[in-house]
Amino acid sequence: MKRLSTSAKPYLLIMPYGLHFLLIIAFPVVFSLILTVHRWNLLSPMTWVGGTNFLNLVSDPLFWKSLWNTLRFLIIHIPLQVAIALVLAEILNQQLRARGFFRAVFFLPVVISGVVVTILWKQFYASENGVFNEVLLVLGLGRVEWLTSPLIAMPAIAIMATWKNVGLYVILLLAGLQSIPKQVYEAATIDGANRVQQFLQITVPMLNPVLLTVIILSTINGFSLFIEPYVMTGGGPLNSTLSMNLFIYRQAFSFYKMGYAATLGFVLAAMVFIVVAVQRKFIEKEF
Amino acid sequence: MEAGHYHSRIMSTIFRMSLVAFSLVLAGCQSTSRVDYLTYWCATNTFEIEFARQVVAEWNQDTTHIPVHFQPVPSGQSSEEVILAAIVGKTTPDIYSNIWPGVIEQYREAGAILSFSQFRDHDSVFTARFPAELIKGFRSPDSQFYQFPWKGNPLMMFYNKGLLEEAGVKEIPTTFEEFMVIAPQVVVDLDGDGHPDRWLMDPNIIPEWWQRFFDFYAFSIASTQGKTLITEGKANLDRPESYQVMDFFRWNYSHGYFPRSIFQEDIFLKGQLAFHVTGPWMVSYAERYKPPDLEYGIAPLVRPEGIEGPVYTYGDPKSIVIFSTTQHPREAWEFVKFMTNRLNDLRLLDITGQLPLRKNLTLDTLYRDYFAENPASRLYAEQIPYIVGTDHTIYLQEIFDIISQEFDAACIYQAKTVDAAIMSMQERVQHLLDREAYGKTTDRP
Repeated sequence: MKRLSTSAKPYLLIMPYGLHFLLIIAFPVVFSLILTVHRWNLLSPMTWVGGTNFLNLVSDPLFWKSLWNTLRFLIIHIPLQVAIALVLAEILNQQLRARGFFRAVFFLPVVISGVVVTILWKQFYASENGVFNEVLLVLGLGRVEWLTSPLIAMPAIAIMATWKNVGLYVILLLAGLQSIPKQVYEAATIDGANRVQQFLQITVPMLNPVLLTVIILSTINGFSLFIEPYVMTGGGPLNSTLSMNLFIYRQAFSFYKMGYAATLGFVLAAMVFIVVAVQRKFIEKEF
Repeated sequence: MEAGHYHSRIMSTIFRMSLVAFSLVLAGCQSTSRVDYLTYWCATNTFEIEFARQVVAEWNQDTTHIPVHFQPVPSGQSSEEVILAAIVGKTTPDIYSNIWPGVIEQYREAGAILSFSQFRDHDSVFTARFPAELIKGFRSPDSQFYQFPWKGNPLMMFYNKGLLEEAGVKEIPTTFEEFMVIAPQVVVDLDGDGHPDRWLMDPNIIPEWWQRFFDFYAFSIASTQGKTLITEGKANLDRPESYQVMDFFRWNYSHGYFPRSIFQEDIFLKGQLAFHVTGPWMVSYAERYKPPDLEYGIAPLVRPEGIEGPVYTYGDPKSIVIFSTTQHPREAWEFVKFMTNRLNDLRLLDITGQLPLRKNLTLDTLYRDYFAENPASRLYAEQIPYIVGTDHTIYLQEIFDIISQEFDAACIYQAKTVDAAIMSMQERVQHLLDREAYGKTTDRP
């Protein structure tokens, strides 16, 4: 009995996580992988289709469009987010009055529901009587078709997503800034380095690990763009805001093409992996 | 030693209990024990819940009936998703009363729903209730009925009487051409900022597939005297009426008569819109929320010049189904007949304001008082004999998604010509129909 209890105890202790891993992580991944070589509409039995889903993906113009849209979003969103987060973190790192209040304010959008934020911004962006266009009219400028112009809709969504998420990255960068020893700046000042030189030669290199984290998290969040186009534009106008995730969602839950959706999901995961690997290669440095 | 032994016994017991619990959960998922009642799911809106409550209470009063338990369909993104999940999990109710006929073929192919044609008296019940023309559209390709058409929401045009009078419009347009003539009178810049302050009509510009029921599809039905998109397995989109409908929308969007905007509020009730395509649900909504000075009228959809006869429209019908998981099909059929009898159809009108799909609705003396008190509903009820549903295909959502993409490109944004859009629609829809016909196993997007 003692031998049994000794040998069973470790397994019993890891059983809760083991079950969680098997049911919530491993099973869906393996099942999705199986789906990539099948056709399945949830209702009828699965049909083996081999590599057809992958071949179809290559020849699907909407796949390429959604991929380009997602990359376009990342190209606008990541630099904007990192730059604004860095500036805000630098400001909040100064001896300001009510610094705690401002830190909380910038973080507030992060904890508000994505759907709520999106509905709110949809109202701001409304062509007729939206807040932004009303302000532009007061300034004597023309109306902007924020969500109904194929050129402007995705940048408008990127701006909104930046507003929503920047607070999290401000906190990360602020923690990074506060970990840089003051003596380093003092020594640089004695050596004659001005503020810009200090920022470029001290702050940015020493923030590198945090910056890398911020960029990787932004990239992963960016690839999962879904709520914003789903609620605001439905992927339009002219599919200009159709993100990869929205495209996958439609294939799975509007058209019940589970096999094709799983294939798209795996391709998306592979792309996130590749992009993050490239980012690490070019940004990560040892100091 | 004692403590260690005690500890190991506790651990062993927890382990065994976990296994038993897990097994019970799995077993519970596939329970096949016999039940002595029927489960009925209704729609989630307050009025339909009240209707279901009253009907079920009356049914259950008779002790010779099998008891019915009802509940609103569980919450989800859409009721179709919930029903799909229930079919996959084999947790469907016996009866569901708010199903969109567009999904019937998928459920039929999966063997998830029962055929009403198996019941001996189905023919007499269907013949007595439905107009012959109307019922054709609900028959599946295998000639059987897997749905009991229950209610319809014909699409018509609400119009703002005051706005049209102010714009000098004497008669409500009935054709595309008349509509286009009044467009410049209605759509004007009132405050001199170079931007229109009111519009002719407001089709939704979001490229969701089902939005096209309210513009391209409804107006195609009106223009073709009630024809759907598929004839004997062939896509029927490359027809003159499709060009007329697409040209009509393209012209209005390109001239700014239809707004290419997403609005924050209901611009019809705000008095900024002349026409709004909608169903009978708008009557109670408008009565509740309209400003006192807004007077509205209801008219059939416009169509190209030269078409005679009644105006057809999309009927947005909802049906009742019996799921094949039921253990009491005959009793379920009896309950369906009970909830759709003449008296309960009056109850449906009274409580929900929705229109039962039945013959001579406006002529039946039982409903006369209701329609005398609700003249706006009467206009919709008179449209019931001229409503059309959708085609029977498992690719309906994809077909409407294709139409939505092409409508977006050709009409709203004029990024391609109408000719190119219709050719593309025809080709892509035919490709889907070919795949369905030949049962191809590819999963081509």
